[in-house]
Amino acid sequence: MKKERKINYRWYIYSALFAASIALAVFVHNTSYVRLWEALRNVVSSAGVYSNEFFKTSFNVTPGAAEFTAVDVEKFLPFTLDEMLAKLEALIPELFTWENFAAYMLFVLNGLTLVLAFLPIVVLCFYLFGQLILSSYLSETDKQGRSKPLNFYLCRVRPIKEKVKDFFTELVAFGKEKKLFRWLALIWLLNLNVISIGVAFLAFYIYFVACFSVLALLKNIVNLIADLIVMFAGLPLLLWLVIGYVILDTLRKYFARKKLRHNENKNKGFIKGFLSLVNLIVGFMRSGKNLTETDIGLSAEMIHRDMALEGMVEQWHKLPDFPWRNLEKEVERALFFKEIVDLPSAREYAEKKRKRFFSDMQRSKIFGYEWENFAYEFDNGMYVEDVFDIVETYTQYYMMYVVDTSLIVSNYAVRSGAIKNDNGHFPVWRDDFFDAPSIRETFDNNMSHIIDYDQFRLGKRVGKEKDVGIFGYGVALMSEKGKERGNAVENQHYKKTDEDANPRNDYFNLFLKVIAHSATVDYKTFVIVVGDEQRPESVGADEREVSTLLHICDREQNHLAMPFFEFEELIYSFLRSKFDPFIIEYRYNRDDGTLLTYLMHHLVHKFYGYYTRTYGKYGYDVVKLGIEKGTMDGQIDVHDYYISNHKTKARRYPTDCYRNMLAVKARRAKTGIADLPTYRDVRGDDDEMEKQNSFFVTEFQKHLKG
Amino acid sequence: MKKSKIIGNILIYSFIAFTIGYVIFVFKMI
Repeated sequence: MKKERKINYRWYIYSALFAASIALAVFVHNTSYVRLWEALRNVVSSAGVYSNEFFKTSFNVTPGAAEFTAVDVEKFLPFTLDEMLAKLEALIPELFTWENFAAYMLFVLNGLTLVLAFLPIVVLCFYLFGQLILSSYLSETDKQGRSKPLNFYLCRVRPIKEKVKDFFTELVAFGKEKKLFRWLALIWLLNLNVISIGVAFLAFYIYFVACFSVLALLKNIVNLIADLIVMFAGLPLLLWLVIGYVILDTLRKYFARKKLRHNENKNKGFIKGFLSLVNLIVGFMRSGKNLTETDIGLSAEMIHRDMALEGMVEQWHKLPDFPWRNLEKEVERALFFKEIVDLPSAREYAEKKRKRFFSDMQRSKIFGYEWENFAYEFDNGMYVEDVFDIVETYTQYYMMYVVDTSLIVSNYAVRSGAIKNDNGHFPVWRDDFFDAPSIRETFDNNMSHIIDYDQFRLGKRVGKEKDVGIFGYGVALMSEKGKERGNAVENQHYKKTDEDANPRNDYFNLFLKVIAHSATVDYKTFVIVVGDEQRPESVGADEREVSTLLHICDREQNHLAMPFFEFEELIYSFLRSKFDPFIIEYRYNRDDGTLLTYLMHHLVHKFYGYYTRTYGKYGYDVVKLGIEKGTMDGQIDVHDYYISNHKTKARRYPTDCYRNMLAVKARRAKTGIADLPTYRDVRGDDDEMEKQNSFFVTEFQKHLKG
Repeated sequence: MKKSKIIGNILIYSFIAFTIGYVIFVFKMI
């Protein structure tokens, strides 16, 4: 039985669109095609002039790019081309005359008068709408459920609206999938004279380089104005406004992403230039310490990978003929089988390779490198490195670079932003700070490692495991550091000779002072420790004075990287200021649903979603960070640090990381604030004061009774 | 975005539109 071939109806729709576009090209926009042909001929003649000028050929050409267009564009223009040239020549001096300025001011004021004449009518309409129509919706009623108009809309109108929306969504998706839009766009770029303008510019550029003619420049400006008028005459004004808005939106999003990336680069410069290996962020509660710490950690992780990559590229330059991919594959194999797990094991691995080579001197023992024919060593002007010195450095760099895990260890969960692109050749890392879609699930993402403080202890340790090792390289984030380490006053009851680990006998501070030694490769250090605390004095002086303090002096929220958003801001602000009080009052007085409220709420919902997503993608805070030495000498340099919403607030870390631990204690009582007893009067009596379980009240009462 | 920044930016756009409008107006007038 023959299988019925079902033809997708969307092909018919697109065929009709293409047919209509081509018909319009032939019968309406034919001037654009004639102009394009002229522009192409001008490119050839300009190339001839260019060749005659620079290569001394003798082509007989008439440069069309030096003259007015011969195409009949004057039917679109209010003036002839000669008149336009005369106007252009006289324009600059005429701009600076009082008569012209006064005439323009009169014109503008006439326009404003027209607008002001309509303004009272518009204001009156809004006022009547608010007072007569909306206020009637605020009368108290016991009605429940939906009104009849709303029911009709939801049951009859909305399904049709959704079907129409789905139809166009699928039509657009089909066009994108079959790559039909690019051909349609090409036809319309030709129809609207856009491509002619580009080609005409090319023709003029080639001519102008050969013959610097001001008259030709002016004539081409006239040609350009004529071409632009032909372009704008090709579509109705409303359609141009829509196209203009789409182009503006695309451009402003591009500039927004550029600005966010620039802010991120400034942050990286700040971290590399001003932060030390051990840092402490200090500020009041809810001032953004954890937020800043997380942001620094995410950027530092990318900095370490960038540094490793830079280091590897330098090794490539030292031995350009070395088969680096062979070494990389061996390092990846060693990582998989746990022969390499950290920097010391990477160095041991390279040393083992060196010994194997020197016992045999075969190419297979030196990763297939033709060491007899190519360079065996590199002189950097200070010392000479042989192949295996470079291999040892490279092995360490590549290990840190390729390991497919977060480089962050922390005492609260951080969702890493590093993404590895690996198509079987050299892997490349990028971050998902600004381009990723909104996050849905955080479970099973690339998360930070749970910090084991024993890795930072050179003395006594809390855990009983012997094979803990020490923290090698990476980014360590320690929130509430003062509560972990304590200061001299809080630790005074501990003794160094205690059997159990305590802040005095664990030599944590000593490790922080020498931490760079375990994380340095080729004079570059791959470790940073960032903590936060409310008061710097909460951390002992021994540790604090080797840190850099970062004071959160101020945080300016709600900056927007996307330009030209002011009108949307005003509209959104107006809608919320009017609608929010209305809906609260409405819900206070009634529970039912009405069509007008439904439509208004959905309009506000659309704007709310658009506004929130814009700030979510392109919003950022500016934190004023005051840098001070840990010795707290009072010299504070304030720098700006940029925290992008999409980078750091997209479920990247929990702002309430101890919530679950506190909840365990809270749930024991099975009561809440509503269950707590209240005072009977403005002055509490003895029984009520005793219920406070207060140290002061207990002591006070003891003295009063004594 | 701060209100002062919104108003400041709108004034800048208005000035730019005013200037472009002036150039086009004079071009048409002469």
